[in-house]
Amino acid sequence: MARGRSLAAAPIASLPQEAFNEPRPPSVRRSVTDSHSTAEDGELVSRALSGDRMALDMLAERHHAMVYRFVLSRTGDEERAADVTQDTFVKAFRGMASFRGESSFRTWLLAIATNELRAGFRKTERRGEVSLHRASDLPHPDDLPDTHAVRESEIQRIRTALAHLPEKQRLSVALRLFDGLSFREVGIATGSTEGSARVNFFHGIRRLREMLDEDGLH
Amino acid sequence: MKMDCTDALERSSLRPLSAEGGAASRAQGSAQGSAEGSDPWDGALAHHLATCAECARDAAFMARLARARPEPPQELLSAIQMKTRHGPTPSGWWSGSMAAAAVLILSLGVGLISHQADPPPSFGPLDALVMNEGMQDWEDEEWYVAGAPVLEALPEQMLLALLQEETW
Repeated sequence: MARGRSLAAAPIASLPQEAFNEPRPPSVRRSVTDSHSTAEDGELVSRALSGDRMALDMLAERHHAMVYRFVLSRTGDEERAADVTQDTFVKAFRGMASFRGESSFRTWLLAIATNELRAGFRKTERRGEVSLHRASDLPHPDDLPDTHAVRESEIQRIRTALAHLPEKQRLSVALRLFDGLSFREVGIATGSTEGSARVNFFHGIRRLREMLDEDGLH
Repeated sequence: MKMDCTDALERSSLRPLSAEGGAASRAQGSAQGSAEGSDPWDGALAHHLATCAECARDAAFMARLARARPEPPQELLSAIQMKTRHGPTPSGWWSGSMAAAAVLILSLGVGLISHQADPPPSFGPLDALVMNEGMQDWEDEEWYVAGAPVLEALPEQMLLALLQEETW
């Protein structure tokens, strides 16, 4: 199969079709009916708009972890990530009638989360508060003490290294590796193009390897 | 189905853990990795990773990163569902109340403006004639530009003075 060699320049048509599909989280709990759990997001949105509350539950179940990780990647603050995720879903469900399906439901949610974050930042600035968990405040991977269990220590080192990436690289890596978004979706969520998202992702991976190799992890 | 390194990287990054698992099972001589997946690309990826050491190394690194995926607190989903369950459904809630509020504000605003506005000036037949003639002038003289001097109306001496003036 003939494909472009340059990742950044690979045209959309040359990518595997599956890259644009939206894989679902593997573990979907059975709190809703089978017809809900197998339905596409667009169908669930239609059902929700016609008053089906189970459809709302399914959408929350399917996407809350992605929104949480997205906000966590941007803030580094778990408590804040949980709060913003809740607010995002409340806003999304109230305004669901405005979802036109021009982008995927996932990127629509991430856009709402971004707005919620901005609103939160404005409130915090007005109150004169400072986020306690900015990436620059986190210790460098080399600075961490080696007292944890190996696995926990490794996970912590990876997360710390991720926190030291520039934001767009960090978000691209997190959205792609953790939640399986297509590069097109990553581009929309990070305010860049599909090509930029791909470049950010692979630069981020390269930088992580450098950081973690230095650390003797890989 | 063959896969090159570019495709292999793309697909490994999309599902890093399954990519690594597929490659491992393939490398161990098991057909499970490709036979189980309904997607033919899974088998192609597993085969590529089993034969390309560099891509296998990249896929393994991405899988290692993916294992550090943070999970939300367990109570987060139920908190979201509690918050969203107790409101009206999306169709009836936001759009309905917003539309009602908009109609109310609009009608109040229009009523207030029409109440406070001065009565319209009354025009006699002569006023209408003058206005109509004025409009006619502009309609006929399409080359006029607002604010520009009408040179044709100036006497010769003033035109010469304008030509000699350095500042205009």
